[in-house]
Amino acid sequence: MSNRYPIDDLFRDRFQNYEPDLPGNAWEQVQAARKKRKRRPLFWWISASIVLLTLIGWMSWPSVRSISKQGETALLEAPPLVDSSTQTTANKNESPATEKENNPQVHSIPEPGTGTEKNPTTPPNTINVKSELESFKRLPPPVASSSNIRSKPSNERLSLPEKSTSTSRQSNTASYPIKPSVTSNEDQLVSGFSSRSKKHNQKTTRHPHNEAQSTLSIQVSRKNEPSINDNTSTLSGVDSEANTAYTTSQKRNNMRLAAPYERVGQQFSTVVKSNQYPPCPNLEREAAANKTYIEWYGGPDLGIKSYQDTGSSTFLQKRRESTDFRWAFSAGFRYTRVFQNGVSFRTGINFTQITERFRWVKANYVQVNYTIDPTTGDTTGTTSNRGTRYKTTFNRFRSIDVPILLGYETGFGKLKLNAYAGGMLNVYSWQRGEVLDTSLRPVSITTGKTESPYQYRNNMGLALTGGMSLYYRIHENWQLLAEPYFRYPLTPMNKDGLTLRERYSLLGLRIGIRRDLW
Amino acid sequence: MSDAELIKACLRQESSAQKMLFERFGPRMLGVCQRYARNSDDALDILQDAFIRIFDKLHQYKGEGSLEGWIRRIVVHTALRKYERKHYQQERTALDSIAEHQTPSHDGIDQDVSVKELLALIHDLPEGYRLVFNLHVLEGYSHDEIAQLLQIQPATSRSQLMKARLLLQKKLLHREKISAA
Repeated sequence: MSNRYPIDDLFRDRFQNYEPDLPGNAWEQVQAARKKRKRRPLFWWISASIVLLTLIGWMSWPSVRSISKQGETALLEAPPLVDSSTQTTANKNESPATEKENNPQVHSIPEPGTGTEKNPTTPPNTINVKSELESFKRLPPPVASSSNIRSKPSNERLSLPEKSTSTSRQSNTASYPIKPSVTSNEDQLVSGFSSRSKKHNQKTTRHPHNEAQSTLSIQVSRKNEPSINDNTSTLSGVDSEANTAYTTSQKRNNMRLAAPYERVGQQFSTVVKSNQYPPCPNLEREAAANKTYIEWYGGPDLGIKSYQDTGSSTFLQKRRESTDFRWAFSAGFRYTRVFQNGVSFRTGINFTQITERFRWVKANYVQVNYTIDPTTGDTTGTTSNRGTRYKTTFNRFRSIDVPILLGYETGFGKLKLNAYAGGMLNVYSWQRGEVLDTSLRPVSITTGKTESPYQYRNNMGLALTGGMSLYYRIHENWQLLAEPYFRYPLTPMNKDGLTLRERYSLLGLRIGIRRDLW
Repeated sequence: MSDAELIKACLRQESSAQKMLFERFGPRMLGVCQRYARNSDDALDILQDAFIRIFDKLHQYKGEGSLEGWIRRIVVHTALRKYERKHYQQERTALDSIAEHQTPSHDGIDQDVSVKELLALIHDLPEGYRLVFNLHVLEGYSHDEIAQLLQIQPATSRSQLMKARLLLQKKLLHREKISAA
C-alpha cells in the first residue's frame, strides 16, 4: 500500500498483529451453536417428506380411479354372463384365489342359498351384476328367448373352438366365438338395441321380477357385445337349465320371435325409467354420506395482536406503538372425511404468514456532512444537520401447523355447509425482523441469527380454531370453497424470559377447491 | 501440530482438534470481527457464525494459500453478510435544521494511539464507511472487489473510503486537541 495516506499506515500497523483475548466460554458457545444448527435440516426433511408423500398419494390416486372406471365400463359393455354349467374341466380346477388374481374384474356367480351373494366385501361395481345373474338363476327356463339362442352352443350356428375358454375370463366364463353365419335378424336386433341398451345399463342394475323382463335383460346385456364389430364376439351361457332345455325347434321359434324383441325392449326401457332398479355404482356413490375429499385453499387473514406485560407498562406501551399489522395470509391443503352421520374430520398442513411494520424513531439525530477538496482530498469544511431518524422494518412471522378439526356437514343440492372447530398444532414457527428492546432500541428477532430473549418461540403450541365452510359443486368431482374462520393461540409467542406476552389471533377468509376422492 | 495435520484431524471430527483450530486462529479472527462489528457482542456473534461455517466447509480447503488467509476470508464474508441491508428494512432521516459550520485543522496525526482507541474510532464510523475502510485499507481488497462484495459501484467505494479517512483524521485530531487541553 502506498504511503500517500499516513492514516492508512497507522491503522494497518496497529491492527496487523492485533489478537484480543477470547472470552472463556467462546469455544463452548461455538459448539452449542453448531449442534443446534445441525438439527435444523431435520425439520425441512420432515416437511419435505410430508409434502412428497401427499403428492405421491395424490398422483397415484387417479390411476386407481381409472382402473375402477375401466372395471365399470367392462361390466357394462362386455357380456358378463357366466354359466357354471359351461365351466371347463381345467378351469374348474382353478382356485378362487387364482381366478381373482387372473382377473379381478370378473367375479364368480354366488350359488343361491350359500350366502355368498351377500358378501359385504364385494366391490360395489359388481354387486348388481351378481344380483342380476342370481336372478337369472332363479328364473324358470325360458321357452323362447334370444338368450337361449345365443347362449347355447350349436353345431349349426355356433362353433366351439378347442380352447374356447379365454384365460382372461374366469373359470366360470365360457367364451364362444360366433361365426358370421349367426342369423342376420338377430344381429340386427342386437344392433338395434345396442345404443339404447347401453343407456339403460348405465342407469339400471336391478332385475325385473318376471320372466319376460329377465329374458330381456339378458338380451340387453348382450347387445353391447363386441361381436357386432368383429364377428367373433364371446358369448357366455348363463343358465344351465335354460341350456338344457334348448332344442333346435325352440331355436327356430326364437328366430321367429326376434321381431317382437324391439317392442319388448321398449317395455324394458319403460321398466328402467320407472326406477324399479337400484342405482348404478356412480349414483350409489353420490347418494352415500361417507365421503372423502382433499381440499386446497388460501386466503387473506386479519391479524389481531394482543399484549400483556406484568413488568413494565411503559415498555408495553412503547412496544404496542412500535408495531402495526400490515397483512397476512394462510394457505394449505387438508384431507376431509365426512362420516355417515354427517360428522366430519379434517387434517392437513397449513402455512400462515403475518407481516407487521416495526417503526423506530430516533429524535435529535445529528448528521455531519464533510466538504472535501477533490484535488488534495482535504476536508475544507463540515455541516451538521439535526433531525429525526426513522427506521422501518417489515417483520414477518411464519408458521406451519397441522389442523385437527371436527365438524358437521350438511347440504342440499349443490350447496354444502360444514361447521367445524378444533386445534391447530404448531409444527414450526420462524420470524424475521426487529422489535423494541427494554432500552427502546431495535433488536433483531430473526430466527437463527442470534440468541436473544426478545426472539420468539419456534414452536407456538396449540391454537384453537373454528369456522364455517361453504361448498358449491361446480363439477362431478369438484367443489368451490369459501370459509371464514378464526384462530386463537393458547400460547404466547414470546419466550419465557420476558414478562411481555404477545399473541396474534387471526380472522380470515379461505377460498379454495375441494375434490372428491372416493 | 501443523496446519495440515490439524485440518485432517478436524475433518475426522475430532473435537480436540477443532478446539485447537479455534484457539489457534480465534483470537486473531476476533480482532478482524471487532473491526467490522458495531460492538463487541456483534463481534462474538460473527466469530461464532464464521467458525461454524469454517468447520462445515473445511473439506473445501485444498491447501492453496495459507489456512489463515482462507479462514480470514470466511470471517470477512460472514461479517459482511451480517450487515447486509435487508430488503425488508428501510431507513430514512428527516433533517429539520442546519446547526453549525466547522473547519477542520490540518495538523499532523499523533502516532501514539492505542489499538483500542482506533477500534473505538472505527466503531463510530457509519456502516458503509467502516466496511469499505476495513476491506480496502486493512484487508487489501481493490475497489472493484469491494464493489462486487457490497453490491455497490466502485466509485461509491472510493468515495466512502475517502470520507472514512477524513472522518477518522478529524476524530484523531479532535482527540489530540482534547488531550492537549
